[in-house]
Order: sequence, then structure tokens, then C-alpha cells
Amino acid sequence: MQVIAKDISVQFGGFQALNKVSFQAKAGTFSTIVGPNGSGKTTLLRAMTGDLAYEGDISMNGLPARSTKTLELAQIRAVLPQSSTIAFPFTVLELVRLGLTAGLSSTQTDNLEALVHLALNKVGLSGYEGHLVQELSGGQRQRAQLARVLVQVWEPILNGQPRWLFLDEPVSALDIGHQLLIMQIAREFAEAGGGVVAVMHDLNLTAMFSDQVTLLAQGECVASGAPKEVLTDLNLSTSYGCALRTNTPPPFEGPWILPQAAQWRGH
Amino acid sequence: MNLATAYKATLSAPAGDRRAKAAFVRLGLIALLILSILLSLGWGAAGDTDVIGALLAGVGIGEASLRDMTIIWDIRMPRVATGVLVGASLAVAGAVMQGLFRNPLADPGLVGVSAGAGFGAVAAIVLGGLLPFFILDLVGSYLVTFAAFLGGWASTLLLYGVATRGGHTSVATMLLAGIALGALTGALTGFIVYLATDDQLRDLTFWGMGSIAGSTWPKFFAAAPIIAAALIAAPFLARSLDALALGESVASHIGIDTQKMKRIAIMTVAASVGASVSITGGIGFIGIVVPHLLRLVQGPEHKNLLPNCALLGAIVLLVADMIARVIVAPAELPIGIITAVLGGPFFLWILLRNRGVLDM
Repeated sequence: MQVIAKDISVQFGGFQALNKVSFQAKAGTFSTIVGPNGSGKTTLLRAMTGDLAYEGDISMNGLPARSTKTLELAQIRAVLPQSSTIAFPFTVLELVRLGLTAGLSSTQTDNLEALVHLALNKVGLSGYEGHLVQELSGGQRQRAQLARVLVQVWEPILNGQPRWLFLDEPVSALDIGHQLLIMQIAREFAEAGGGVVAVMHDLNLTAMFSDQVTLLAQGECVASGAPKEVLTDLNLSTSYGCALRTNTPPPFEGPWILPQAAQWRGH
Repeated sequence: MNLATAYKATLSAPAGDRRAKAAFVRLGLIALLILSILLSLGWGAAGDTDVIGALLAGVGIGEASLRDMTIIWDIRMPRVATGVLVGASLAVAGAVMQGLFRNPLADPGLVGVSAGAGFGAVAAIVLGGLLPFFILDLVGSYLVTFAAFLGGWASTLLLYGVATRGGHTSVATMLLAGIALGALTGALTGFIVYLATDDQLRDLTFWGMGSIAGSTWPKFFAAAPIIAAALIAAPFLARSLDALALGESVASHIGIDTQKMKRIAIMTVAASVGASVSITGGIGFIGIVVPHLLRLVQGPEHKNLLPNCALLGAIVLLVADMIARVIVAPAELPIGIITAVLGGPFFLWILLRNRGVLDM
């Protein structure tokens, strides 16, 4: 079971944001899309989550994304946007409950309310149920939204079908401790048989947690494959337009990316 | 469940869960509504009316004098029934609009229903006499009602058409187009008012400020099916409206067909507000203040918000009507003046108290 995006092109006005980019993600793996600002990584994710018009074909577990019902899609994939606002003073508990909108058919649990508390516990927000979402800090808000996303696809595999997490910069608002927590939650989801597709800025976290990396630049795919093959000095330096060097410090096997800019403190 | 057990349930509810509170509020509002209905029925120029006796006699229990029966069942009851229906309709329509536009300040007035209905009514009052006789015969005394309803619907359909492109309705465009259409109908209305005679001007003034004093059973039954249908449809939008608080994109991610629900919500509001305005004229502030107040008390979940809005909207309208009847007795003030005088400062007070909470 896979998510397959084939020859995706997206235009904003006259600007070609994506030019025939193809992408595949397998269930049971963590796939990450990286690239500089404006490379089209969020655009690619938003095409896959049905948020913008695109040319090409996208399928999820064999279902064509364009012609599958909103509710049916909601039962196999959940989406964490880059940032989200909520109108009206919802409590954290009420926010997370919204993840259950797709209903009973989207989980095997009888006790939906219990899921809400499990999810809040998982993202480290137990005890915040009664707080208004507006009162939370940016990072807490992002984690509350993640809890909402998690209850939507609580079981990574349901009725033999893998389910998917689409995460758009899930850790950009978080401190390093919570960055690791969130990446681990996503990693566990993938290891339990679900699929994770994430857009990331942090290349080191990407290298640590991803099975597969797709590097975009200027709306085109530069490279796709295992982190070691994609995150190379040459690929990164040309795509990001600055000198970057990778390293593999023990015991960590993956590439470790260090900026080699011309000037920093002490030089 | 009685009030005491409902109250106990609010104390043992899990943190952040305001459903028990909403259930408690609902029971309280039902009690208040019954009280306001009885007060409203008992309050009038004709003293010594045996309200309870006449009410019971009306359903076949005991007997009451013909005078009391007439006062209660033919004069006060249509007025109270209209008040309940229109109050509920305006408050629920307000809550649905606010959910749809994700803005606590949205009001049915924004989507052009009120402006369109107002234009229809003004045109009917001033120019109605110019219509051919057979049409006047056909619609009879419903001319203003009918024209208002038609005006409200037409303007909503027009706005919906303007804001919809390639199967997607832009809520922001609809809001802005509503302002433009409001200005246009305002100008047209002004022009027709300019043509009006002195007698017509008095009718227009009263119509614009709203009143349930002229309520009759035929008028009530003309609007009741439409408003009732909208009130029954509204709770089915609850989950979608909750989801929409997260924005259209997230709402569709969690399984809501946003285009379909926008269409249903807009049509529901247009029908119910159009029907309300057509029988009572413009009554402001109920659509903004009632949902807002309830959201502060019990949270924004629409499943509980919408029914409680209906109850509180009805109560507020009945209370405002009672004030309108006594404040310059034996004359009566238009009810729109009362709701605005009470609603305006009250709304400001809510805003000042909750500045932090309102920021989105």
C-alpha cells in the first residue's frame, strides 16, 4: 500500500510551483520532503492532501485522491498543517475531539473519549484539557493540533489498510525536546505499519528519522532515496545555494549536516 | 433530568468538557422560556384576564369567558408565538452565520438577507399600489411579507452566485459582495423612501424598526413552516460548523464536504431570516448577542449551541417585547429599538470583558 503522486504540476498564476514531480511513499515508512524556501515542498504536500488544484495523478491505498469522497479520505489519512488557527474559544479537549469528526468507522475503539486523553498524553499535554486553545503557547498549540490529528488515525493499520499522517513542518514551532518527542511519535506510527509523509526544514532531524528523503529545488525533484544517498554535499549545496558539508559521526550512521558558510563568529 | 441533577453533572464533568454545562443551561432556558411565555400572555392592556383558565379551556379543560378566550388565543397568542419563532430563528441564524464566516461578529445582515428583505418590503409598501389588481387580490395582505421574503432570497442567491466559482464558494468574497449589495439596496431603498407619501413613511419607519405587535395567526402560519424547517435543519450542520472553526482546509481533512455544507448553511439562513424579517421587520442584535453570550457560558460546540440559541433568542425577544409594551404604555415602542438599546451596550461590555478570548 502506497501513496503515489505521478507527474504533479502546480501553477500559481503564471508561476510554475511544481513541474512534473513524482513522489512515492510506502506504508510502514517515514518519508520526508525537503528543500529550500519556495522549492515546492509544501505545495507537493498540499496537492496530496487535496488543498489545491494540480495536474497529474495522486492515489492513496489505490484510491484516486481526486474522485474519492472527503469522508472516505479522512478515514485513511490525517493532515497536520504548518499552522492552524481556531475561531471561537474551544478548549483543548474540544479541539482534539474534532479529530473524531470522521466518526466511529475510523477507529476500532469503542471509547472515543478515551482516545482524546490518550492522544493528549502522548503529545505531553495531559492536564491541559480545560485550557482554551487561544491561551496556549505556539508550541503547545501545535502539539494540541497534533493530538487532534492523531485521534483521527489512531490505529496505524485499520481493516488491513495502512493509514497516513501528512505533516507539514510538524516541529518548526517546538523546542528541541518536543521536536524529538513529535518525531518519535511519527516514527512509531510508521513502525506500526502506517505511513508518514512529512515536510521538514531541519535536515538533521530528517536524516535521523526518515527512511526516504525527497529533495526538491525550484519546483523539481533533485533526488529521492535513502537519506545517505540524497543528503550529499553536492545535492545540498547546489539546492540550498550555500556551502554545506555532511559528516557521519559515530555512533550515528546517517549523514550529519553542518553549514560551512564563509563567515561565522570567530572567523 | 431535573435542574439539580443537571447541575451536579456539571461539577463532575471532565476538565474542558462543557457538554454537561450546556445541558444544565438548556434546562434553565426551557424554564425561563415557559415563564416568559406565561408572563407575555398575561401582560396586556386588558386587565383581569384569566390566563391559565383560558389556556386550559383552549385545550378542552374547563371553561373560560369568551372575552378571555379571544384575548389569549386570538390577540396575545399569535404575538407570543411569533416572538418565540422569530427570536429563535434570528439567534440560530446568527450562530450559523458566525460559524460559517468563522467570525463572532457575523450576522445574517452580512449576507444581504436583511438588506434584500428590507428592500422588498419597502418597495411593496410604497409601490405595491401600482401592481395590477389580480396580483393584489392573489397576495392580499401578504404583499409586504411576500416581497420581503422574495427580496431576502434573491439577494442571497445573487451573492452566492457572485462568490461561487468553479464549485467553490469564497466566504470572504461573499462577505465583501454583501457589503456592496447592502450599499446598493440601501440606495435603492432610500430612493423609494424619497418617493413615499407621509402615511407610507410611517409604515416604513415601523417596519424598519421591527415589531411583533401586528402578529396574526395567518401571518404566523405563513412563516412558521419555513422557519421550523430551518430550525430543524440547523442542528445537522453542527459538526460541520465545529470543524469549520479550524478553517475550510482542515474541515475537509477531517471529513467535511465543505462546499455542500456551505450551500445548506447559506440557504437555511436565507430562508429563516427572510421569513422572520418578512413578518416582523428588522430586529437587530439578537443574532449577534445571543450566540455570543452562550458561547462564553458553554463553549462553541454547535450541537449544544444551536438549540440553546433558539431558546435564549425566543426569551430575549419576548422580554424585549414586554419592555416595548410597558415603557411608553399605553402606546408601544417598536421592538427593534429595545433590542438595539439593550444589545448595543451589552455587546460592547462583552467585548471589553473578553478582549483576550476573542482574538483568533
